[in-house]
Amino acid sequence: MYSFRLKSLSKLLPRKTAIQSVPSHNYSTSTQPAVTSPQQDYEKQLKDFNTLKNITRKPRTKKPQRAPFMKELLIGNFDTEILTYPQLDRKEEVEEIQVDAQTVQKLLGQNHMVNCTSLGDKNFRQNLADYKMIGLQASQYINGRECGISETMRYLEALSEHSLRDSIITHEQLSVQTLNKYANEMLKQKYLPRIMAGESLAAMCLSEAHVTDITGFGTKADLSSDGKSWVLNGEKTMVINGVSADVLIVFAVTNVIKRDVEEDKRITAFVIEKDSPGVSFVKNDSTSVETASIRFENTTIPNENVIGEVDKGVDILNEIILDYRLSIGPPCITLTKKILNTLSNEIIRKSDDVNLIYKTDAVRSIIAKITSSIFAMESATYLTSGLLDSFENQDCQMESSIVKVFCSEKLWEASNLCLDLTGTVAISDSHFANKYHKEALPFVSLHDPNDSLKIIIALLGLQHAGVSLNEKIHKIRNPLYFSAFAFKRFFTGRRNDDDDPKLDLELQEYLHPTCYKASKNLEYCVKRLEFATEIMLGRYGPAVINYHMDLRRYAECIIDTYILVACLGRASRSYCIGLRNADCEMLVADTISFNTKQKVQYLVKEIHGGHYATNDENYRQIAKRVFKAKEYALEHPLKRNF
Amino acid sequence: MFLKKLLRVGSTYCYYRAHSKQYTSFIRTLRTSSLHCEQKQDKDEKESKALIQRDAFDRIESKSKQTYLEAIRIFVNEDHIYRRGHVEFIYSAMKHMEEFGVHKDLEAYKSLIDVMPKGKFIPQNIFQAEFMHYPKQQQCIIDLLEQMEDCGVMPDFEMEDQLLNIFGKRGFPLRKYWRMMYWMPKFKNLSPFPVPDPLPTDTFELAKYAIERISGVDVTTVVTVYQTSDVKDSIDDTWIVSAQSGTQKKLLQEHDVTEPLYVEGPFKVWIKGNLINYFILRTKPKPSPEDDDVNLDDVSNLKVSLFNLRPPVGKHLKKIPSVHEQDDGTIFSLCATGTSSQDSLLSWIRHLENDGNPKLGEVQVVFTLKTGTKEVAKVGDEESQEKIEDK
Repeated sequence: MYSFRLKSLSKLLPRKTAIQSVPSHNYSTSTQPAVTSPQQDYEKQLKDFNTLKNITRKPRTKKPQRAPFMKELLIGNFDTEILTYPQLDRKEEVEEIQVDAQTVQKLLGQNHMVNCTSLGDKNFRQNLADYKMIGLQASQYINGRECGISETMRYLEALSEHSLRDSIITHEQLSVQTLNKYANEMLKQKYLPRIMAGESLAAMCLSEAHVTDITGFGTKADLSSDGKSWVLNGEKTMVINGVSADVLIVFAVTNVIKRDVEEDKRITAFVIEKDSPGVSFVKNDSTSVETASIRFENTTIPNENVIGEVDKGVDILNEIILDYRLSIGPPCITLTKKILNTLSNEIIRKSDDVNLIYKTDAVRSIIAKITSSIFAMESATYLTSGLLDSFENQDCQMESSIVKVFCSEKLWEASNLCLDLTGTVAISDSHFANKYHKEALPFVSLHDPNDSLKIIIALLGLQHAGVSLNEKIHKIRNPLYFSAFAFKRFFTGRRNDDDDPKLDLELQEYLHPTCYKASKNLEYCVKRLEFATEIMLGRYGPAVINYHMDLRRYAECIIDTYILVACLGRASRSYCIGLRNADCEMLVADTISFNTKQKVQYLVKEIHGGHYATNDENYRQIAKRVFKAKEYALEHPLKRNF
Repeated sequence: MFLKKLLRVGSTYCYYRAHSKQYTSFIRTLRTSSLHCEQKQDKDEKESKALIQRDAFDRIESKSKQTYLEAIRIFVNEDHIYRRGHVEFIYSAMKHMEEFGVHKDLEAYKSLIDVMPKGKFIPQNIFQAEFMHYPKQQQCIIDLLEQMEDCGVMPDFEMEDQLLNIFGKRGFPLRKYWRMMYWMPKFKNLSPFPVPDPLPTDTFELAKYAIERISGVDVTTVVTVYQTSDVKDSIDDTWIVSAQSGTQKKLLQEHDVTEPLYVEGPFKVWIKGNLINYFILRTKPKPSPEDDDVNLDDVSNLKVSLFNLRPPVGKHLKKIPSVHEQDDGTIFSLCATGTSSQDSLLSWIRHLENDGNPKLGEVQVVFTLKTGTKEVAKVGDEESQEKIEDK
């Protein structure tokens, strides 16, 4: 068996490995390398061999794909499978991860690591590489860890201890992963080992100034006349790690397909070394994260540097960006935990006999809120990663985006609460509350802005729902043509209109009995979401993409419901298997379920009410006035007319 | 109450009888006075009143606010013993206000009201009050207030005291004053197109304002000021206020080279009595897009992009033409120049070309200008010929 594995591995290895130099493949388990090699070669071979020896088999049996969970939930199909909170298969694996993660945390806590301010520091990267912390998901044959998504998330959590967390995660999840997942063997061999050894650094060049969507990209690559290379022109902005990186992954327009009036741009991903002619960069100043603008002028890229296939860059982006969104969860968790720990210790320190601050309601409520936020963030992140790990090719578009929005928002909220509780001293730059607040900022603003991500979440849901609900929506929108349907709906929809949906999903049967009440709350949310979907599509039809205010409400309902699912599943699992503090988890889950029900109730009521019952129309009018005047148009309160 | 009603209805009735023929052609104007019909009736009479004092103001040579107030002061001082003929004086003074440029000046109106003696006209009982005590005097002041209203002059609280001292709290002028003070502030700022107050006197500033207002229909428009002297071979030395939005630039970029562009004008725009000429750069209208039936019930094919950095807009439902693509033509830019001459317009086109519209160098630009009696000029052909040869 072992020999068989080595044999299959040999194909993946570089030419001069020990195994291939052995003439016969049938008994290749021999540890004896080719004798004639000079000393250097011998060492290399030994190293390669050690690599192979250390490979542990990671059997990853994935269950067949299931229907996308959140998308199906919106049309009323609740997949109870999800209430079983996913876990890693082998116990040893979990323990191993725990140990490794702690080692890394320790490493990052050392002075020479803490003081590092840029990922451009080679020593810093090599230290990380020593612990195999670059290229987590890369194959073990090139010295990666071959982690699953959940494991990756755990390690990212550990890596987030460092203040360079943005740079590290962007590097890992965008640049390294793009190469690891989509580049061909040749490119992988060329770049990945160097990157993973910390010798070079990759950066992803995606965003452009004044571009709202990838269809607006101005960076263009044209095939040269001999068809062997591409010529790249354009400018990319906000490239994270752009200053220190020496390998760039660039997304550029390679083809424009015109259909009538609409243009469709095809995008391709390239790898370029930054010292190639025609590449210049400017450091963006005063950002907490190292970013740069990179300019390409007639840069020539050989044909073999295309990642994946030509014109298929969007597919790469579609997947990679979802994983990236998911990986915003871990740093947010780490940072919020830090905030909670520091804050609670600070409060204990401040309390004395005269004034037991930690016993006051004011403090307790805030501490409890942050705690349940962390619980929810963790639950959602690891549920999503678990889904991706346990099902083949699972569609987690919505779930990943939800993790990004929710985690970054809760982090921001926690840092604000921390500021509130700290008081005046927080104004000082060196105070921890102030520092954490600044560290929280990139997650809210960098990359996808939360607000538009929310709208995307809502639209993804509606897109999926629209397919199966199309016929029904057609009837709802034309009551005069389908009068029997309309009358029937008038009576059957009564309970929905009265905000009293029939709770018949029996979710409590899949959870611990203690969760009965919480599960009913969840059912209520699911039912109301289904109703909201129908309203949104029925009222606006395909124009729904323009009603952002309702989309935002709808998205908030979706996000909260998903979080509730994750929390309930996790709490129930912990309670069943008897983890420490499982009772507290139950309490947290109850709290969250109560909050979620209230919020969903309120929001769906607003969606149901339409713009007569909400401020939407007022907002439109007010904003219109401001844009007409191009400034704040209202008079000063002290102004007199006569 | 009854009496009041009778007065109003009665007067309206008189109005109907006298003007029943003209009634249909009566232009509706918003007035705060319920007595305005009476004023109309008395129009001829009023002019005859004014005849007497005509010369008092005609004699003054330099006509300014100062001399106007001086004339009023002289009348008051001369006549201080008997104080007669105020009504006639006020009527004739009102007629001359515009000549002196004080028709929008509150101080002038106040000093006119001040001509009336205080106390004498205050009614002593309710019968006097309701039956128009000293009707001529009251009517005169009502007419004065009416003129203020027409000129958009809002009274102040000092005027209330004046009217109270002259006609008492039941006097009709005071009631009119109260109605004015109720409505005028409400109308004062209602205009959706307010003009700056005070209005700049400089033509350049006015033109800039006019162009900004016209182009305000698209908030992304950028108004730029060019100088003709920056263009080589230009004869005029003047300014050009030009407006163009990003959408217009894009439209111009997409313009078909074989279709000529037209510089048209001058068109007129009025800013509070100041005339500004402006010109537009346009082309023939695009063929109106086919009304392809968008199924507004089909939700099975919503398009969502995963990476919108800003909220998506449902353009794919139907391509809505921009505000610049009108039925009679697509407008690419508009401008006003200091001289409104053809040469300055040529400079304008050159400036636009240098300012991110390279297409203008390739397209034929036709000048179709209507300058009074002059013929329509058409020099674009030569121009573009030259340019093509250059290339």
